[in-house]
Amino acid sequence: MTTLYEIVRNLLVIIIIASFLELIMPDGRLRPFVRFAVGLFILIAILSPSLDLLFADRSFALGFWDYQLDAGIERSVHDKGEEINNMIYQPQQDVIQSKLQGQINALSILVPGVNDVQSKVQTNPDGSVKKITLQIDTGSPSRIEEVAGVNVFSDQPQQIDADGKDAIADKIVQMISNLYEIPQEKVEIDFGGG
Amino acid sequence: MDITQIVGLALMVTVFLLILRQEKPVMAVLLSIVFSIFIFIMMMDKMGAIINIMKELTRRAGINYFFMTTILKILGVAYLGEFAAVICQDAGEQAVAKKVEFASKIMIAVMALPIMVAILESLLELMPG
Repeated sequence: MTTLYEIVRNLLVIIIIASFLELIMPDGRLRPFVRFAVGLFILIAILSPSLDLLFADRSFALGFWDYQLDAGIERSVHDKGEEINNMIYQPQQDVIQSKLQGQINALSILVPGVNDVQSKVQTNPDGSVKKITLQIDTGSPSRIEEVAGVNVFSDQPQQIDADGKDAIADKIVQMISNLYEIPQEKVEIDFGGG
Repeated sequence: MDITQIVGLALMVTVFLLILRQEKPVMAVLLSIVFSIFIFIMMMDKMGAIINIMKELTRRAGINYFFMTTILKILGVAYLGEFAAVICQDAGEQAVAKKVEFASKIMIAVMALPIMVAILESLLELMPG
């Protein structure tokens, strides 16, 4: 009874809306088209609740227009999507970073005067390089020790002065920048080894 | 601005148009366009009030607002199409007016299509067999 009462009430409102729409329709050659659309609107407004009442167990194409996704479900779907995205994205980022670090290490060690290199690549969320930090060991002693004598043809690595380090740093920065098309400011060199 | 002002303005514009049509027809068309736009802009607020009431009525009747927005869009397209077509007719460009009407008709048909398809699919589903 309540449902019937609701349908009758809604029907009255629909009739009022339809009459009003009829009133504000434009004159001229487009009027029949607008009347047709308004007719469809009235039909759907009456048909939708009637079908829901008569065939409660069946879903009609009309129902799809009324379908509204619950906010909670929407959020959970979104969260799951993010989770899957992270699951795929993070390992790939790690692989890219480690491969890039290996390449940079191999290249940098070819520069004369470089004994050992440890690079660290930081990437942006879009996969582009954010920063490259290189820890370079030139093999020179970190502190000066007293030596008995100087051997001119010694096998020991020679101490590299500040100018030499600058030259090495410039060379490595230019090489990385040219090879990977990265701005030079993104490459940072640290002579941790001395 | 109430109806007396609109009527006064319309009469003035009509007189100007009568004079301008003889002397400078291009200016007459321009004045006609400006007047149409002016009336349209002036009625915007009032149209907004009507739309709000319709929105409220639709909510109370439990009708999906999607259908109502579609109908309002169709009305908007029809009004704009009529405006443009009448202006073109005033300028003596019947062919352009016809094209504007044609485009408006197609736009209205395209917008009414989802509602029509939904009704048809539901009715076909109801049919036995």
